[in-house]
Amino acid sequence: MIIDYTITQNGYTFSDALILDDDNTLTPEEIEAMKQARFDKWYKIITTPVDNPVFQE
Amino acid sequence: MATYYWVTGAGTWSTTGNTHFATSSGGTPTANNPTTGDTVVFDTNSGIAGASYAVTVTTTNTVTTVTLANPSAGTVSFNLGANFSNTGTFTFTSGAISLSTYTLSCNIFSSTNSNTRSIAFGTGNITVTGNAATVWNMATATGFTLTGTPQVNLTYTGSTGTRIIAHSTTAGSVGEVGAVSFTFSASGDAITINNGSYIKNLIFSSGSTNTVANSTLYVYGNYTLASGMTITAGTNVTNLFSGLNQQNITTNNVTLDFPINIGGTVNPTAITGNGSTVTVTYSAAFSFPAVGSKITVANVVPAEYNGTFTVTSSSNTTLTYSSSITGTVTTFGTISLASCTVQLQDAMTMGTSRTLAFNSGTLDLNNKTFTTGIFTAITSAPHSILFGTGTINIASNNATIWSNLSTASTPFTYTGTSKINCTYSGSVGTRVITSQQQTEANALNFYITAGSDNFQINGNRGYQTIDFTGFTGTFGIVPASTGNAVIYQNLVLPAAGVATGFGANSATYGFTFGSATNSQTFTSNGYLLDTNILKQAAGSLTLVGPLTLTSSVSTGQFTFTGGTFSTGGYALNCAIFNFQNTGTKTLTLTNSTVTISGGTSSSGFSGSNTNTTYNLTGSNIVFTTSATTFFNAPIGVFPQVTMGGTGTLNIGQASASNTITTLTNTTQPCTISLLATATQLNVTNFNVNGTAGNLVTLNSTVPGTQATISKTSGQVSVNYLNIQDSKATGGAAWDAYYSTNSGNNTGWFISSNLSNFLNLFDKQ
Repeated sequence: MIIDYTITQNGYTFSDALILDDDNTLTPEEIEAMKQARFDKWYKIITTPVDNPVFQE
Repeated sequence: MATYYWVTGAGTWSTTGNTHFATSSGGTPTANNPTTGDTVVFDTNSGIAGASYAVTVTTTNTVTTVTLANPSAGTVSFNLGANFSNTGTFTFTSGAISLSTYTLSCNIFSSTNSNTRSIAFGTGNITVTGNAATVWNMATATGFTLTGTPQVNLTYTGSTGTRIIAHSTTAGSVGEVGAVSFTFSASGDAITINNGSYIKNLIFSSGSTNTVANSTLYVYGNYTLASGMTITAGTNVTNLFSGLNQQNITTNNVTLDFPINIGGTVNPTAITGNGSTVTVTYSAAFSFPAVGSKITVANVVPAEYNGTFTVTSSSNTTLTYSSSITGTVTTFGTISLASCTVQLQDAMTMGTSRTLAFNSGTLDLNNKTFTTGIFTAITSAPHSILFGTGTINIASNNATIWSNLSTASTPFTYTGTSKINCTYSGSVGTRVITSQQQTEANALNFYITAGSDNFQINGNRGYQTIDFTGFTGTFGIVPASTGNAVIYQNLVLPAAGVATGFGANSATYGFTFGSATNSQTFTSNGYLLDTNILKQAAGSLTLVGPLTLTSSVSTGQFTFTGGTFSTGGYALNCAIFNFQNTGTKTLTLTNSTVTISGGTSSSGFSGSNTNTTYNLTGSNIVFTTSATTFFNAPIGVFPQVTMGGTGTLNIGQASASNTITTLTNTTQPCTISLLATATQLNVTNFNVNGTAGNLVTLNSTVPGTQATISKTSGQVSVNYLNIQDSKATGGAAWDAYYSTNSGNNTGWFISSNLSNFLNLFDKQ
């Protein structure tokens, strides 16, 4: 089972898919929570600057 | 706990009734039926007089250890006729294994040597159950041949220890066709796959929570991770480069904090043709083109060698493709894997400091979000991105975060709607984007959505839209650029309030709006640009908001050579506005004030009388320089031209007339100098006035030669002028009061004092 979804929050758009076993027993609420958790993880990565150092020549 | 040796050659290994097992190597067989806890050995004495033999395995017993090696003068064929398992180590030294449709199960599988040996997988598989050890050891695969669909299932489900997969580090004879697929059952232990392993599919089943060490991998097939697992961060590269199949990538929200390469290229060391085939010799490191792969040969001289071909034969150092070429190669050029296609199955996120190197082939986003630190496509090979509705996010900083250097001869292409977000939100360093060369059809959209750092755009390259909404740093063209950055759609600058200008990045080159068809927009958001702007080609450009360029004549020029340019009713400020060329163009300045802050004696607001259409209602051309500037637009009727500076405004074009409805000034003193060689300047309203002690000079550009100004009717009444070499004509009365007659004037009434009323008497 493939569930394509897109979440847009704070101007950031995340297009993803949940690839689940066909016989999964997840509730709709659990699936929505999975979507949000995946967005939240990506959002944190993309909005947290990891500064590469400025090398002095 | 016995050890049994296979003897007397060919036979069947059954659960019971066996007649081939002895208790010593080459011994006499007795009625032994190995079972759990026993060891079975196939060795040099297992064949009759050392000859080849075949074993058909049908036992359902489980032994502990199997060692399989050739007889002294032949080959052992170990053929499964049923599922077979041993609970210890299966050591495969030499010989041939045929799995057919069955499973060979063992705790550890070991076959690392240089002997000739093979496994015909058919549709069977090897299942490895062990843990906390090197459970798969094929580190040295020299002499190994794998056929069928090589599949290894690793079924340990616990979380103890570290499993080591010591797989082949050379493609060698196992290449892409014989590459092994590894599927891990859900488990939670640590896993290490040795550096340099060549793998077909690498699959971690749903529910896996493993920690997998970062290692250099060459993956020919699908790559599937499980949501609960982790791959440690590192600098070892995962290479995706199938020449035969689409590779599907499913990350299940696992961050890939390591570099990834897609596709590859090589510089061949020799290319030879023989009429029916062409043979390419290349570095052994470039070992991936399997038979059936598509390769692109480029930049070879003579050019008859170039093109996309199917590999018909390949080894570590040569590949052969069918062709009919006989020329002598003088330049070797490059070879790339053309048929490499990588498709995302879900969003894919790399570490924010990692690099995706896109070397050749196709990256299919499949409408998903792809995130990386740096994206490079520094390649001469054809490569394409299928965006669909997907996006690419570039999260790194202080580096060239996007490099896409394809040239016209090795094109980059894309489909869908390109959207590349540059998302770094910090303030450190300089980000640089270098997109492909100036091909409108394949230019990309870039959105700089965050950051307060420095951002540079490489010039002499094409971009669709560049949008700085959300960015609050400074930006500019890469100082070493060799031309303008060409915009084919829209340019949106950062919001006003940030540092102005290009600052330290000020460059001669700026932006060209170059679309042949698009309706382009330019939103400056009040940003003061210290760079030149060129509008060219047949598309249109409309300002969205006022636009201000610097007053420097070297970096504040707006040049218009083709298509349609509209100020959109907004103010335009620049040093020079130049449309003095023969390009077909429409200039729309409706209800806009165009302020010219710089200029020279022959440039300022300068237009052509060829192929230019004007829309000028409500416009006002204002000159503010304290030096010399210039107005010349001989075809249009300009509603208003205003001298707002203290310098000199030259007006006119040789042998032509300019027409201005209202010519006026807002500063005193200043000079309005009419071109001596022009036909005449036509005005409706001449509202040029000085003040006491600050006369406005009206003269000719050539002292001693009159310049003509014409008004068809009515009366001109102006004050505080210093008039010289002026011929006033056209039917109107031309009166100047409190003014100075500096000589060589005709058609003027010039009085040094008093008002209109008092001078009525003088005029009589």
